[in-house]
Amino acid sequence: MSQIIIEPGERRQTEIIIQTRKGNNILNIQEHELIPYLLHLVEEYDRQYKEPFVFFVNNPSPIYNCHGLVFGNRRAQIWDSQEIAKIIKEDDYTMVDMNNVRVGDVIIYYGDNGDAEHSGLVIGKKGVIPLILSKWGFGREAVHTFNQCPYSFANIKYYRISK
Amino acid sequence: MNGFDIKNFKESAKWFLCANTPVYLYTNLKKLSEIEGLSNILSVKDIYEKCKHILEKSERNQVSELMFYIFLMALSFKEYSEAHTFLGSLRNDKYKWANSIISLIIGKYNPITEYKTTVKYEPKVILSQEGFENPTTSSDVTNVYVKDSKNA
Repeated sequence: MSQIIIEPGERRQTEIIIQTRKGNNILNIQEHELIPYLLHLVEEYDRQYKEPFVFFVNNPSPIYNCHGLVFGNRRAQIWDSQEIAKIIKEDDYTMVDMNNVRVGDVIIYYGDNGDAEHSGLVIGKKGVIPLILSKWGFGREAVHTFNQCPYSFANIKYYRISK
Repeated sequence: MNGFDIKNFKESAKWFLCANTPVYLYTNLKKLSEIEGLSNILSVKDIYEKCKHILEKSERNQVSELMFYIFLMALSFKEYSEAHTFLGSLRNDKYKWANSIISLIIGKYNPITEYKTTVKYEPKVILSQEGFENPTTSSDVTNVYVKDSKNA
């Protein structure tokens, strides 16, 4: 039987306390190392998504993901959709129409099944098209138009902190 | 395939790299021919053994995690009746998305549609007033009404 080839190396994972405004803990995880093979694949995304629609910024980091950027101040990965729903509710976010979107709003990309598969911050507009700052998994942060990323944009919602 | 090297699963690794949630990873790995192909060359028991092997290894990094998810997804292409007991016993806290992906795989199965029935005789539905009983039909099979085109 063929062997499974796994590079040696122990993974270090940690969890920190992140809470909603109401004081409830948000499930999270931090990873401290990105293996060389995944690091190499980051370049594939760099080649696939290009200017002027996508500008990559920062280095790849496994410590935080998109939700960690938006809701955890780049401190950890938040990966459970239920946690995102909890944050939206307990931090008093309200939904806004795309026509009324402004800088500082949050965009969430929902999958077919309601999964919050990606999120980002609105940092400007290119004409009427919102420009987003987001992070792509373990990869890099990117500034991109809302529809230039490897996530489903069939069901996008925008949110604003109401108070 | 010479060994199960992550380099043979480049598309899976690309999705893993940009995945923010287990549902996203599940959805995109499910579409990959490289995983369906893996499912075609390995039996359910082989896949299960691979998963157990990864769980028992001391190395625990992103490669072992992704390989574990890849084998889990290969199980998702197998029939529920074969795979479900193995899936249940692979639940673990070692890999953060393992339990979510296992729940997704089990949840997506529809056991009712998996029962195969063999239809011995294809039913023919013809209103009795439109036809007549075919005298040549053996009564131990079924009565078949054949439409009489002359009298129709």
